[in-house]
Amino acid sequence: MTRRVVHYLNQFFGQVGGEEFAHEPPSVREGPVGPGVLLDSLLGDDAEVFATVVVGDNHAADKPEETVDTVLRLIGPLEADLVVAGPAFNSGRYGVSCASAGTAVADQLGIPVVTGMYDENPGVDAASGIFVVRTGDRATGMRAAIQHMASLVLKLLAGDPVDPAADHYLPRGRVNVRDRRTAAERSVDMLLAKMADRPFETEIPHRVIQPIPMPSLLTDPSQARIALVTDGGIVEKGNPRHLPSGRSTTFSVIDIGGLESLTSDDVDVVHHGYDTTHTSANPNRLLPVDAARRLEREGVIGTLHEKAYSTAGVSTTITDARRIGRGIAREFVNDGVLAVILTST
Amino acid sequence: MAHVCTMIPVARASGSRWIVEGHGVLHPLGRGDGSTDEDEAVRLRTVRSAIDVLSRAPEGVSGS
Repeated sequence: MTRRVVHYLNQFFGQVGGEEFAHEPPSVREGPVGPGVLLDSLLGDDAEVFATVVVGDNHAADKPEETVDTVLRLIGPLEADLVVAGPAFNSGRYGVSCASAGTAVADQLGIPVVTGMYDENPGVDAASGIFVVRTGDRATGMRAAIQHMASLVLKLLAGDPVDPAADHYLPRGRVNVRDRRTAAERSVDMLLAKMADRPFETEIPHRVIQPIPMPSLLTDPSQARIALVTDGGIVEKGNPRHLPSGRSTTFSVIDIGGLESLTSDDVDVVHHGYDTTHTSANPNRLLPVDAARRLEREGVIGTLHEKAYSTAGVSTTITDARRIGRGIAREFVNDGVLAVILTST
Repeated sequence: MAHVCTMIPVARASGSRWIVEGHGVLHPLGRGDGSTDEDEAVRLRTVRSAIDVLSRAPEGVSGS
């Protein structure tokens, strides 16, 4: 019997269009589309991609609950045996979209879900109860990603045992192991070992999250120097320092001293992760110079810092993002900035 | 730091403690389909919220 697989894609891989179609609401079409064609061929006679659900990245990001509800209504009646989402590589909106929809499908429809994304994709944290196959950070790795995902899909459909290392998916914290001891006995053994400073191995691996210290509250904004930062890709007019539109390793500094507002005569927007039409037309939608100046005139804030900072936050590694943040923060400390408004797209 | 953004789960996961909801991925501080006055009003309201949350202990996401 050929098992039925539904494929979930964004507007780009679903062949609707680029960023200008990122607002597309969920829709379903028959058969495989785009990378689903390769997926379908790799599933052989055991399974087929019989339907594809396409959702615009911005629709999913701007209306997450509505998107999940609609996707559940579309997939529910299809009698799918399994859902594949993506792969999303390092695309943040797409990864979160795959993870959110996939988690809801697994949880509320009881259908197993396989998705694929890069380790640092924020979608990894949003995924729960689904299989996340490790991929590279860009779509040039599509073939390998689909091969690994297809292989895992076939194993899951056949009821075969799967393993994170062998099947290229991120550990889900669940391992099926036979042990003569009960869970209570194993827990007590671990506790006794810990108390006696003997080595032990936890059965539930914890994802290590670097703690971020709680900053001080801003007690009196009317006396404070406030700065503006964005990861929406604003650069000086003409981009004289040739800052990249993604995979940023540095930041730009925008002189806003004396400006009452930002216009497209002052800056450009360089970012390949979203449609920059609106922010190019009015850069205050990223760096709200006009609003901040008004609050400065009203005395709500003490001073609007004369330098604003920007980077292009798409496919930027966590390591580079931390370094960029520290670099900007150092300048703020030197300049007496007490608080920051960060705007993200 | 007050973080204005639409993708709030991502902001939380990255450690932001003061989050103000933005107005869409494409125009976080504005109205893409509104008049100039509406666009400016949305932006002013959001920036006020951002300043306001910075003086309060983090409780979650602030609407704008």
